[in-house]
Amino acid sequence: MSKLGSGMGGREHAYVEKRLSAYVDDEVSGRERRRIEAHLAHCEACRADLRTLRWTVGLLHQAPQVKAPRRFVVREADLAGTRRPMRRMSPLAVTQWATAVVALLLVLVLGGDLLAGRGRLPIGSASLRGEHESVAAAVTQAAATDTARTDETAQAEERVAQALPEATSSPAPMIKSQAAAPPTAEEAPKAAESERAGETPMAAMKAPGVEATEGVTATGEAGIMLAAPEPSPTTAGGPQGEPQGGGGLPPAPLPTEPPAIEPQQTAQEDMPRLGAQAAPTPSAVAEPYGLTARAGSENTTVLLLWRGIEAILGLALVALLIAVVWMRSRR
Amino acid sequence: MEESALLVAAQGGEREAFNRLILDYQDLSYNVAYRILGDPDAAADATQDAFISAYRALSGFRGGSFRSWLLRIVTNACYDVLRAHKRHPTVSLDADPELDWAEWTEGDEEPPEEFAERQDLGQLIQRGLQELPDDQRVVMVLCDIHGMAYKEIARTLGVSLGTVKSRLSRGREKMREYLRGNAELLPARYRLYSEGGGAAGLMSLLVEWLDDGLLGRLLRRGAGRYE
Repeated sequence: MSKLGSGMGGREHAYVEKRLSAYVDDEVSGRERRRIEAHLAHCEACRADLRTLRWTVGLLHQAPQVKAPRRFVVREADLAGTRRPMRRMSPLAVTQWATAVVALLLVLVLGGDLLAGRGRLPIGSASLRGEHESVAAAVTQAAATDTARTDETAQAEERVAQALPEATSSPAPMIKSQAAAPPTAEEAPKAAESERAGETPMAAMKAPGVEATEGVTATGEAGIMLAAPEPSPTTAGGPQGEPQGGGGLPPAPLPTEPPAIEPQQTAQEDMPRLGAQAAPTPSAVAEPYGLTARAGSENTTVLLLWRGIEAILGLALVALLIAVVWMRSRR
Repeated sequence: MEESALLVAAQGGEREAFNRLILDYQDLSYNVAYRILGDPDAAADATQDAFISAYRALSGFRGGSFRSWLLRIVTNACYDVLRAHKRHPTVSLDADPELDWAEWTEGDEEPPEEFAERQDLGQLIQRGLQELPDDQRVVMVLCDIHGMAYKEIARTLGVSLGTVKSRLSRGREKMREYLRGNAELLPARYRLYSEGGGAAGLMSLLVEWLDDGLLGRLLRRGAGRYE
C-alpha cells in the first residue's frame, strides 16, 4: 500500500526486503534497524512479510533434535586403515596415478638411454635406415663407454697395438678406411671423447689425434667430426670442434682425405711422444667397427628390447592420457 | 577433565582423550549432518568420517572455538557426501518416511500428542530443507535449527557475514513458501493464524513474537550496552 504511495517506496521496499531476515535475528546495524522500522511503520506488505518470516523461523527453531544413533569414536583401525582410502580411490584417481607412474618410467627409460650412451640416439636413426651392423657396433662401444671405462681403455690400447704397424707403414689406405667408416661408428664414442677433451683441452686444441691415449676410437671420431662441418684443418683443430661432438646428430658427410690426414700429421709433429699412438687412429676407427659387427646380433636384440619397452611405455602413456581426458569430460 | 585439557591430550596423540572430547559434540554433529543430508545412514557415515578427519587434522587446530572448527569439518564431510551423491543420483536423499522417529529422537517431557506433532513438523521441515540449494540449506541448519550466531556460521563455513545473511535470507524465503504451500500437513498449532490456526495458534504466535522478537531484542540490546 504505502509502497505505492511514495516514490521512495519501491527502493525502501527492496532495501527492507533484503534485510528483513537479518532484522529478525537482530543482526542489523542501528542505522539499518531505524530505516527498516521506519518503513515497516507504514508498509503493510513488509509487516506481513515479517510476520510470515518470524513464523517460519519459529517453526524451524522447534524442529526436534535427533539423537545420535550410536557413539562415534575414532578407533585405532580407522587411523591405521590405509585400506580405506585405497578402496575409496576413484577410477579417475587410479588412472591419473597410473599415468604419472608410466610417464615417470618413460622418462627414466629414455633418460637412461641418453645417459647410458649419448651415442645411442643417432644410432637409433641409423637402425631406422637399416644399418644393423653399424648399430650393433655403436651399441657395443656405447656400452663399453658407460659400463666399463677400464675395459674400453684396455680395448683401445689393444687396438692401438694392432693398428700401430699398419699406420706407420702406409698412412694413405688407413685414411681411406677412416673416411669410409659409417657415420654411426664415429658418433658412438663421442661421450668418451668429449669428456676427455674437457680434461685435456690443450691436447684437443693442438691436435685431436693426441687424445688417442685413452681411446683410439675417440681420436678417429675427432678427425671426422672436425672434418665434417669444416674441411679446413686449421679450424678443425680448434676447441670449438668439441661441443659439436655432443650434438653429432647429422649424419656426417664422408670427409675428404686431406682434412682427415692433416690433424694426424700435426699431432705427430707437435707431440712426438703421443704421435705413435695418434697415428694409427684411422684404421683403429675401422677396426672396432669390424670387431663389434661380429657380436652384432645379440646387441641388436638388447637394443630392440630396449626400444620395445620404450614403445610400449609410450603407447601406454598415450592410452592413459586419453582415458584421463575422457573420464574427466564425463564428470 | 575439561575441554582444553582434553584438547591438549588429544593433540598429543591420545586417542581416548579425543574420543571423550567429541562425546559432547556427537549429537550436535550428527544433527547437523542429518539435517543437511536428510538421510540417517549418510549422516552417521559423515559424522564418523568427520571425526576421523578431525583427529588427523587436530595438530592444525590453533585455538579458538573447537565447536566451530569441528563443525567446519562436519559440514565439509557433508559437502563431500552431497557431491558424491550428485555424481551417483541413484542414491536417494529423501527422508525415510518409514523411519520410526519416536524411537530415536530426543524425548522431551512433552505430552505424547505434542511430541508426535513435533515429529510431523520435523519431517515437513526436513522435506523443505531438501528443496533448498546446498549452500542455503547448510546455513539454515546452522542458524535456524541449531541457533548459531551469524559470526560463528561465517567462521565455520569460511564465508563472509554478508554471504551468511544473503543465503539465510533466500533460504528462509523459500522455506516460507514451502511451509505455506504445505500448510495442510502442519499440525494445527503450528499453522499461521491467518491460514486457519485459530485462536490458540494466534496466541502462541503472539507469545512467540514477544518472546523471540521484541523481548529478546530488548534483552540483547541491554546486554550489548555493557559489552
